[in-house]
Amino acid sequence: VSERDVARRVLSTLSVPQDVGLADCTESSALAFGVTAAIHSSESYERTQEWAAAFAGAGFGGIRYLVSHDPAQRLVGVALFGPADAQDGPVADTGPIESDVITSARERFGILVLPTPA
Amino acid sequence: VARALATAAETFEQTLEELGVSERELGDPQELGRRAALLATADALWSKRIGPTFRRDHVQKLLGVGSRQAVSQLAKRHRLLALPRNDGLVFPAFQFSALGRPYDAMPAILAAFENADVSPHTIASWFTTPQRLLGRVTPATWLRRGRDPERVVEAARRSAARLAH
Repeated sequence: VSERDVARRVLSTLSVPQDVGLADCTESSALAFGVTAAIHSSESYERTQEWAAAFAGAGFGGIRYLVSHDPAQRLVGVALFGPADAQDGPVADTGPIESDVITSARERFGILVLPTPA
Repeated sequence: VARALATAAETFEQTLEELGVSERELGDPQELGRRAALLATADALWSKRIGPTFRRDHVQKLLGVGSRQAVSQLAKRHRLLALPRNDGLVFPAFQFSALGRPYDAMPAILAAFENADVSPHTIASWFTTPQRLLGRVTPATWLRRGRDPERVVEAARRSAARLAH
């Protein structure tokens, strides 16, 4: 990844305006509802969107899932349901992507951030 | 390698002394060392990652266009992927078929990245990174094997959506 692309981005921590009930797809008991590990890495967006619609219909405000870019399947992601595109939410903290994050990305995922010619 | 590294470190130290840089100006020594290593090896690492590239005059001959400016125009119009270098533009070879023509999917792939605000080097790196949607095959290999172009365009769209901000 080009260093420029990292420098042009920031990392932010946001808080949700109100409590949200999440459908936890990382729990083994989710199997009872037909959820399998395939939900975390499916390439079919249609299928995962069907699941999302079903969860939203059941009153959930989002899902908790294992992020697909972590082959170790240890990192957990949260997706909140709502309108498409960027939302205005209260930003608790924002700042540049620090070198410890870049080092961690290299050590964990082999992502190397390199300078490029101007 | 150990001897080369020791020589490099020694020369680095000597050069800093010759430059008369103060300790305060050096900043965090670990960060300085890391940055110096990255700057010194970046060209080699990018080349290893992206593979062979063609100069603008090579592409001009490959495509049979009238001028080098016409080649630059193709890059500007996102018909070809061009990487800026200190000595001019270079064009990754993976975007050209064995017959020397750019793959038909190139404009659609490059268009997918247009709104993601990513540098050409990052896009080039995407071409040589295995993609899950392509069954862990790199887009460059996918194109070379003549696989479904729609799928590689979709892979580009998904990657670009994750990079957009």
